[in-house]
Amino acid sequence: MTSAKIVVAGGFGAGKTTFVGSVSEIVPLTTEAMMTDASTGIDDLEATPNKATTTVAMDFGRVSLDEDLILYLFGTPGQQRFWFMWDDLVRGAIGAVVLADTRRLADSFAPVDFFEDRGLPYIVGVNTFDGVVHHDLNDVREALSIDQSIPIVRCDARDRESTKQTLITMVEYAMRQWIALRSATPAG
Amino acid sequence: MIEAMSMGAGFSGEHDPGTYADVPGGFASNSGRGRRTRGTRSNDPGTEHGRESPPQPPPMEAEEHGETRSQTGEEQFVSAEAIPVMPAVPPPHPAEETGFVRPYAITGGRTKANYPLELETLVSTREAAVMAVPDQIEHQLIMEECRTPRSVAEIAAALRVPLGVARVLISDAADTGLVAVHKTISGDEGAEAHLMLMERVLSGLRRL
Ligand SMILES: Nc1nc2c(ncn2[C@@H]2O[C@H](COP(=O)(O)OP(=O)(O)OP(=O)(O)O)[C@@H](O)[C@H]2O)c(=O)[nH]1
Ligand SMILES: [Mg+2]
Repeated sequence: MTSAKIVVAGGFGAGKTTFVGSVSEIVPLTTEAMMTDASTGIDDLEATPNKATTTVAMDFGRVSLDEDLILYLFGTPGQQRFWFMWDDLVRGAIGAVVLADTRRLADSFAPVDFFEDRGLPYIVGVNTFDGVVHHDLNDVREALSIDQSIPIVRCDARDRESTKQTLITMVEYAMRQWIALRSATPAG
Repeated sequence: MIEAMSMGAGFSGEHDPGTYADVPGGFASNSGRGRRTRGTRSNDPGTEHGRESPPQPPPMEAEEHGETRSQTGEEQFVSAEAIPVMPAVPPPHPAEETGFVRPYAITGGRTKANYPLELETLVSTREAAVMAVPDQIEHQLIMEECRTPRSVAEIAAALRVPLGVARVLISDAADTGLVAVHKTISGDEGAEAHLMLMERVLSGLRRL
């Protein structure tokens, strides 16, 4: 029995929970993590006991892919300024889907930068809200300034088939990246 | 492992999450291709705690064996004995611990887990332990939840505890033989295993 993990990122309201929910066999669950709000030491915390922690919630879904394999999809926390969960999210992940709302493309900058920085393979899913494609996909690529090799696909997070296809594109891309990276590394 | 517990650690000395914005040169790896658009925004994820996170413990031997085994489709249960308890984990910095005083009361104040418990790591109740009635209610709940394999994230959600707390509880339950922690295939070790996992995920998705 083993598991795999894919990260679903994107700005506020980009459709992360909808995306996860459209393929998940469970209603997306929420898990929380905490960080210390004041990390200056015990004295400070004793002085302000109510400010001790900040909670960050993220939701996730589960897809049983075969008898021995469960795929988990993790949506990134809504409050993007709390980055402390992101290492947990990307560690060991196959890759990520960055959902981009064309009306607020700038919201995708931070996740894109994060994944590039960590070397996690990602693709961009352009959520066609209200069926209107506001941007040509090439414009999206330009706006996000991402490499030609990174797939950008249209998707409707509400549609299971669309989500499935987006995930397939991502895993295929991740595998290509993985193989290319390995053959480029002499130590292999 | 211990990442949830180290949540505070990565932030030592950082009061305000907003303060790690705009560190210039944070993307040396990005070879300058047209980054101007993105370079101007204020939340630069690549520049914050990741660099300052405590170093990861080296991958454990048992884990690598487990990954090898996983390729042969053998069962990957890890007995509590098979994974060495983390050697000489330094005591958490006081500043890390203090934020967790109340939630960590149920873990006896500890914030470290003895197993590499990723969000997606699967946990199962041990056959031999199904009749056991642990003293701690949280351990009972974990055993109930994990009659079929459940991830660390699911256990945390079911018990309504923060991830860091769930990790310590699961670690304890594994130490006492109540649950088994399955191997997690990660990309860092065992490139072959990770590639095979991706292949399985891909064909699984296509079958959906
Ligand atoms: N038209 C359209 N609407 C969508 C799509 N995806 C999500 N929505 C709607 O957009 C709204 C926000 O979607 P969520 O899935 O909650 O977005 P989110 O990224 O999880 O939002 P936060 O967690 O608050 O950041 C909901 O009302 C969805 O029904 C899509 O692909 N097309
Ligand atoms: Mg959401």
